[in-house]
Amino acid sequence: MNLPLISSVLDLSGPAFLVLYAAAWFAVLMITRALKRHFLSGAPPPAGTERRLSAYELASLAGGPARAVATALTRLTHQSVLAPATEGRPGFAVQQPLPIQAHELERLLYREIELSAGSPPTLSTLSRLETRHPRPFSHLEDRLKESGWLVDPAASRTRWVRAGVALSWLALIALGVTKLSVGVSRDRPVGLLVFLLLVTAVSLWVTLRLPRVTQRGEALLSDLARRNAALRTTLTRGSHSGHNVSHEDLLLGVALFGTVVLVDGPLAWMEPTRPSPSSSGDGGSSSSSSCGGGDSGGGGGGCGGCGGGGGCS
Amino acid sequence: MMMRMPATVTGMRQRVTQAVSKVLHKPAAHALSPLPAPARPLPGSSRTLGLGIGWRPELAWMIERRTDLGFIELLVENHLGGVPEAVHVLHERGTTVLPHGVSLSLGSADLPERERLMTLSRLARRFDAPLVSEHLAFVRAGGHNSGHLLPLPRTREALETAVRNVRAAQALLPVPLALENIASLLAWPGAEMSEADFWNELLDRTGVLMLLDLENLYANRRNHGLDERAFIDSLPMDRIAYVHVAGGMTDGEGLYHDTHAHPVPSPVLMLLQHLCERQRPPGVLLERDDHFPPPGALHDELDAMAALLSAGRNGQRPPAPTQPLRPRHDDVPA
Repeated sequence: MNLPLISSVLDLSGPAFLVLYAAAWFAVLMITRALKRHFLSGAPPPAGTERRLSAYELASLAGGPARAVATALTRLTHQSVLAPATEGRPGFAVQQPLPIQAHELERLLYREIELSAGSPPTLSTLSRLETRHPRPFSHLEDRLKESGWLVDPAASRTRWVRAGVALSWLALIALGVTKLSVGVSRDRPVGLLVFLLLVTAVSLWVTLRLPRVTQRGEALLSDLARRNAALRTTLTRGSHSGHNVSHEDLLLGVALFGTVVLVDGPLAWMEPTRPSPSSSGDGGSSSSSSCGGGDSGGGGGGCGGCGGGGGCS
Repeated sequence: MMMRMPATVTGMRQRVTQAVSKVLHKPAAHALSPLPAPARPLPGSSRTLGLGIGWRPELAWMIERRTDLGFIELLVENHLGGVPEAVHVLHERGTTVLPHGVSLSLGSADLPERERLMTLSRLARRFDAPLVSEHLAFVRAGGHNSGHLLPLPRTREALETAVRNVRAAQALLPVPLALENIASLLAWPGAEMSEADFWNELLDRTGVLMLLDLENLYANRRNHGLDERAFIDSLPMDRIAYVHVAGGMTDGEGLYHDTHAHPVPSPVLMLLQHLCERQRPPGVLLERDDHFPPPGALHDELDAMAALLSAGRNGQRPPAPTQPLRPRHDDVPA
């Protein structure tokens, strides 16, 4: 350690040190952001292991467990496995047996609805199932982490990045605290330095937080949303009450955009309190992406074109 | 003397027959293969249109998934607050976007409003449109809006007013203007010229292009006895920018309404066939605004239009849609 240099820095006048400290704060902020951007951007899976993103995986990526639940409920209701417990009201009831090859998330929802006592479970209550039954959701997220769409907090790379971020900020805080003690010992005003130390502590807390979705995942979602904006437009105009949108397209819409696309359609009862979206704000388009309904227990149907290797065709 | 028809021409005829027959809901012998988009350029331009459809939010997904559409029409007054992203994506993909207005009121005694022209201009520039289109009609008078496209009296005075207004619009627009003939349930008394003469003089004096609405011609035949084929024959073909095809319905009093909410009637397709026999237009566009059917029905109508257009390009006469064919089951290709 270069003690003479540190000593000279600590001997700087108050204003000069504050300028230097602020510049160092900015530099550390840039370094930590670059660290996270570079190492948590989401690595593509090894060549040859790319695969299609399923409807439930896409839902989980775009909106977390609640979105996955909404997508599964949409599918089961559209298949008439589930139905409104009371016509037009948001509670679910079982209507038909669950298909044998149902996805584990569908099995969980079905069982929860089947065994419910009292008021029928709603989309809102079922969306909180993850706290009691995390397995189906963690399975979906594990696959997304393996594919580089979601950040994996337990991965060694993530831990190293967080350690690097923490050390960078702690070094700056150590410098500031040392100067603070010097200032106090010399009976100099230290208010501004204390303020900067607080800012540094907050910066440490903020930058240690991990994003849920990797940059690669964000890019995928942004691309899919744009390419399927036409689907959102058509769905929010209620056209799926007719024949203009297939079951697979409806699933893709819910997975990607959420239950907002259901507000004007026959499944609006699932979430009746949501205000109707503006028709002109969305639009959009894409031809090639759609979620397959052919679920085989592995993922809830494939969303066309979304390869694990870096995007959707 | 009987002449043997080349195999390619025979194949073309078969495809046209199948496509048109599907629209008439008759059994089809076998599936239709995609037809090539026509490539005749717009008047005074190297750009082409081909097959198109009026963009509506309810049809956005169906339009997105049909890859042979060369252009869409964007109803200007429906998007004053912003154009949906779906339209931008189509444009980026190479689909021509034509702004189409309904409120310029070029037949009004007042000059067209500058702000409305600026809106058309902004959209034309934003989408690099080769033209914009409006209606030869009036919708305002004395500060009141009719809420409907109303026909002009076919008088010398009305023609002079229309010529003045069209020239004023052309002076402000950055791209050529195409005017659409409208359908009407009423006709003003005291007509001094035929509809064809009115249009031809307007086209001649202003240089404006024409958006020929075949269903409106059909409506005017049903409601006013217009000879629509003679009307088409009287028009300068090189001034037709593109063609509208749509459907309507007859009310209890026998009046035909241009609803855009019903299937395209076969006489309208016959008019398209008649037009294509004379000269294939640069583009043909399907309008559907309400009571949206399953996508397959719209695809059948678009297929039929494309077939007639393609056949017209080669100068051959497409066969009449009378062959027994099966209904179409395949809706949207995945």
